Amino acid sequence: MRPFDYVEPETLEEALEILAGDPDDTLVMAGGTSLVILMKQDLVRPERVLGLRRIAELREIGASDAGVALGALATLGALARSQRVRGHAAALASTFAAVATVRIREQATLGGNLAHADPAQDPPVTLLALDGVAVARSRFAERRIPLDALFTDLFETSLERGELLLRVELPPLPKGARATYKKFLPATLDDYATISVAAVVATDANASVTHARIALGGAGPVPLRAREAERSLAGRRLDDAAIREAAALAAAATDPIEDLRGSAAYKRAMAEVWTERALREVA
Amino acid sequence: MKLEHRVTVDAPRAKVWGVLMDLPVAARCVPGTRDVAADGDGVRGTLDVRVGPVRLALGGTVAIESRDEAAGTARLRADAEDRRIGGAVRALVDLSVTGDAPTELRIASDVAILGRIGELGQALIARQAEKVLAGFAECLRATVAAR
Amino acid sequence: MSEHRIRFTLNGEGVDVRVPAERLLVDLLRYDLGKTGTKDGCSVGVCGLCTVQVDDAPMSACLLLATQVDGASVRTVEGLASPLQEAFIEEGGFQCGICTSGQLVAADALLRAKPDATDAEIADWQMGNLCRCTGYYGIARAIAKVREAR
Repeated sequence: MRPFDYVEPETLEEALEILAGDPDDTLVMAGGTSLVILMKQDLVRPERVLGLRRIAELREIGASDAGVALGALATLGALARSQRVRGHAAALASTFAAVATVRIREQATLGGNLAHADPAQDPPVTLLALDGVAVARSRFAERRIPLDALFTDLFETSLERGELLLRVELPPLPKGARATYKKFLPATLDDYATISVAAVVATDANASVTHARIALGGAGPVPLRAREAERSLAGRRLDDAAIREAAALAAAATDPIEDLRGSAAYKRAMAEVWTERALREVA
Repeated sequence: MKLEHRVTVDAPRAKVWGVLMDLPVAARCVPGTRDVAADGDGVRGTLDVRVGPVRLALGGTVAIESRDEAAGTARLRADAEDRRIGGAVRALVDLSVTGDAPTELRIASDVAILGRIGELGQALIARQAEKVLAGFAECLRATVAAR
Repeated sequence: MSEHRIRFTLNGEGVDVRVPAERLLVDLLRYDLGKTGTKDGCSVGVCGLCTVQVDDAPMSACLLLATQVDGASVRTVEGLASPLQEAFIEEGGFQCGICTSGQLVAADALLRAKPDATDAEIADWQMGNLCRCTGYYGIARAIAKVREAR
């Protein structure tokens, strides 16, 4: 691997200072699972790598009345095992547990996962359906970025130069809400979903939908919310007709990229099938 | 990899054709190009493209392989490489203009990715190529309008 | 370009070395520290041949910079003293042996974390350690055998 300068600041302030000093030639490393591969392939050639591993405050997984806060440096494995995560939504814990292999989960982090912005990744899908908000900081300002505004394109986020992800905050779920994450993996070529669906639903005493979120992965250049499908469920019972209609709307909202995991047409068809299955599960 | 793009320009066909065939001008319309200079009948320059965290610097040439002004068609050949990463891009671009104020320009490209650049994956490359094409088409329209 | 002093324990013993920033853990272990039990297979963290334990957690040594284990305790196959090793022999858990180090280190990490791992948990955990020879049955039997014996 090509030589580079490695710095491991002890504090967040130090890290932001270093990053502000040379944002264009400094690459940030959390776990390193994606970055090290890119460096090995010589596809990126940073002058400097900023390692975040010593910044303990970024690892915290906390809960309060305001919901849960997941630190950017928390590993996917720690998140999968966390009682706080499981307590918020079992589907979120199982989403983290669905990523790759145990080795990757022990090294890869939430922040690295989000910053990498691969639309076929698992965590962003469920986090989107749970109305996640990313908190990012630069040397001079802190920003709250709703996750559906974080992912802007394939491998691109709205993070600005000099900004670091600190955590993802999830608001409390409506009482009685059910959540699920479905990962469709017909070929284990690289363990990324052909299509994945996260659905969160809450109903009132009459079984009418009061809260609906449907998010899809592998369905376009970014993980997306199927808002029209969500709206179609409002105030309705989750019966066959409602579910079928929502699933069709979700599929129509996709803009899948053709690749080894499936053609665009196949992915769109599977988006409908798996949205239906997800909704049946939370009905 | 085959890509296609169409753009409608509110200008006479002759004007659109004129800008297209003026390679140094047309080349500067490709977003991310720099150091564009005439190279014989063609043009040479460098295209900076970012694909996620990967930065490519594609240096190469574009030449007109054939043209038929009456029919409004032309074929360009583009050859560029990124020596640092170790890869090349070769493209055959078929241009055709139809109509006359408004004039429709159709750009059909057949792009081959060689070497390391291919590791980025077809999906990602196709997406960036589409963006570049779209940017080019828009700039072309603006350039023609300004004449 | 930068060099770093790193200190960690390797199979219980202290290590204190200087490494360039770009040194990978797998190369440090194999070439600088003589621990060739850990193999470098796919180099992209998929195959599992380079599995090591860092603070008891299984990780891919081919994806770790040596600087990332500063202050940690690292365990390689050379540092295992586990009934798993006998069980692999008894149950036909290897043929060519290339994946064996990684299989053992991963399985050892599993039984440390979950001594009562179910068959499904074993399969899920070991999923990231590929084997071209055995068809996995012998590996699964060996791990289950050790689990039963506890």
